[in-house]
Amino acid sequence: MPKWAMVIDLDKCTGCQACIVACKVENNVPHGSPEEQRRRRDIYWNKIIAVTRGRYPKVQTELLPMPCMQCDDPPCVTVCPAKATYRREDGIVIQNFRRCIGCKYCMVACPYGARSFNFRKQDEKEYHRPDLPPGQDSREVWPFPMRTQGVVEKCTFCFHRIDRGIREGKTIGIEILPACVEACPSCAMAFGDLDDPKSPVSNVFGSRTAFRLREELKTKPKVIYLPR
Amino acid sequence: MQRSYVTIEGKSRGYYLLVTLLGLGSVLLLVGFIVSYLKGQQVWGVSNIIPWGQLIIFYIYFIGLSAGAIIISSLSYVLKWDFYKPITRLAVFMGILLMLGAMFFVFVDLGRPEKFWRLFAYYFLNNMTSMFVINSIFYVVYMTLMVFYLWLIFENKKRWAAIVGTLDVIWAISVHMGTGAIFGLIGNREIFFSPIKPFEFLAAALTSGTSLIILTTLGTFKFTGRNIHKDLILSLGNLLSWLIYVLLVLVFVDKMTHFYFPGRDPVLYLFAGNYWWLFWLFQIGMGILIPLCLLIHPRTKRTMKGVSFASLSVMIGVFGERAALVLPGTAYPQHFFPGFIEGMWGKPEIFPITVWESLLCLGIVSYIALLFVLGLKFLEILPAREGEDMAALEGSNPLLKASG
Amino acid sequence: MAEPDHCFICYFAIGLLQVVNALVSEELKMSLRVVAIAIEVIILMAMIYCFFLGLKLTLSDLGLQPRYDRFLKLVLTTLGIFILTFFIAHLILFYPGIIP
Repeated sequence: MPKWAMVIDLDKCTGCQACIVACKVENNVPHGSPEEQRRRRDIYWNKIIAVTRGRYPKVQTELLPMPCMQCDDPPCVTVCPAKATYRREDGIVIQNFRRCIGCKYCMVACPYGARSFNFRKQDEKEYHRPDLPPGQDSREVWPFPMRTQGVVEKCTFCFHRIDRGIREGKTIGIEILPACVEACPSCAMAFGDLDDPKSPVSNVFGSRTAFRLREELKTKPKVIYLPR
Repeated sequence: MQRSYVTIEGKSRGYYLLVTLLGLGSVLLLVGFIVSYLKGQQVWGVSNIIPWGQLIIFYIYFIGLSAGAIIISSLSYVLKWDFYKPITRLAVFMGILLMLGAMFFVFVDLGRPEKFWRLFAYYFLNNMTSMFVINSIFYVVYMTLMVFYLWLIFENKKRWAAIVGTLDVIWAISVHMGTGAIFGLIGNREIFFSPIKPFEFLAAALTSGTSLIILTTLGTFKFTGRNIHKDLILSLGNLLSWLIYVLLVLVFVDKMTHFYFPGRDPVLYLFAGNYWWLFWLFQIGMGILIPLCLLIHPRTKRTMKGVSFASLSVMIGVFGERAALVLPGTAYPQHFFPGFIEGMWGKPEIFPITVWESLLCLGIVSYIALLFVLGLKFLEILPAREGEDMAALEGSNPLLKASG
Repeated sequence: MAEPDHCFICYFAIGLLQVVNALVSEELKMSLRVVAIAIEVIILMAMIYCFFLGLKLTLSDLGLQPRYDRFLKLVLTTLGIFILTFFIAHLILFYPGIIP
């Protein structure tokens, strides 16, 4: 069984947010108005945080892209009352909109703030995709979900791409990538199977001291960062 | 002594006015619900950072009140202190209604309330490790036990009532400790995370439940022209003071544990951040210090006014305590990476008070009050007005004896 | 759009609905929706009424004294009103359009 993981090289990341935009385009995540952004209601599947350390003139800034960490011991799965979020065998934590009752317990329990709630029904115009051929209607389930209000959503490592790629016999991590990894202009992100010695991610531990976020919480996240 | 219980007549102008007002308030519930449901939760103050708002604060407050009321009601049937018999039916009835109210609050807060049934599809369609599910088991059994207990009291089956009452009291303790565990077991939110949370919740439930019983007894008896025995209220006040001591100790130990070792930023935010006033003015001030002063001072502790002011203060203070847990607990930003997180991800969030959320809460409270007032008219809850037997009260009040 | 299976009736039904959708005006669609929602609410409330009445009668059969009847009826009626409000709100928000 593959164990999907993502490696983000902070030395190469410029904080350009192309990954955020690509994720929103790929998964039809609504943009959110400035009012929603101010009230912290906009939906972010992937975010970039800037962390500064030190004092002027010796300031150090880290730019950290943070998708869902797809933890191996996810606290959100433990607390979800309706089994709407569960961990697949290949390590991806799936969010099932049909089962979600919108209690927001997973949002409280997530240590990485990866989850967002749908506070309203999105307008039709949010789903207008003139770039797509007419057959790929916005009412399809994946990869362009119509949002219904009242459910929680989060990054899925673009599992729709991975599943389709496996069906078509393509190599995941080389030919098939999540949208954010594919869009990164500086190739700061890599994706692959941790157990496969030939994948881009499995030999990352030897190169520099890899770290994960909030490791003391023992959630075993699968997004691994390489420091600058 | 066989006391008789009666319904109230409920034909006075004051009664009709009260019922009308509460009915209008309940209509607010319907209107508020329709607006919130159709527009989405964007009309409330909740956000992705503070996902739980006024509705969840009221939910845990009401569960506390219900558990507290049931435990106080146990004083007469379970511990066989006949002194408290006049208020038992009132307390159990209120326990049931408050639990119903709490269920309303949590139902309305769900993003998709029509799927609530999944919580009750045990083992097959829900996740048994979730504290919500474990609590739902507690709540279903609790509600059944309470209704059964009240029915046994109405039917004057004293022996059975004592047995079911004992079970109900033990279960009420588990119910509210379970509610505390919803918060206490969440490891990434440092303000929530504490093994004492279930006990803190229980202590707050006992104090607020006792206060509600005191205030409701005073209000109901006065409004329906019954004379209340001063000793009844004073002994409840004495009980309240001991419960506040316990609450003080638990709150102190919890905050001290978070404060002692390095990594005390979250509790410092609770003490000195945006919501410092919820903690110091409401939880500590109105919930603990002011009532303790009123209940210790020899002049005020022997007056009904003193005890009722203390009770009112406790009720407001414990509401503030619930808010001081839910709001700062999630508002405090999570530290994803050591250092100073710039921008909105590093700033504590503010929870705005919004119209529809407040109206919805007011509506549910009015509905529960309406059911209570109508229950007084259709069920035999209050003791008969003519002449309480004083002889039965002499020498049977253990709490007053203990205080000296 | 749902994947049509290989049954002829499904193809026919979807085709018919598409034709209907193209022919009727927006106003007619809206009023048809309102009528459909109203009918569904009536059906659902009838079910709730039967369920609550059954609950009340079962409790009476199990030995509940008649003196509790009025209050029980009151509580069930108020709950019923809330459930009615919930159904109306839910159907207004989630009632599908004519085309599935």
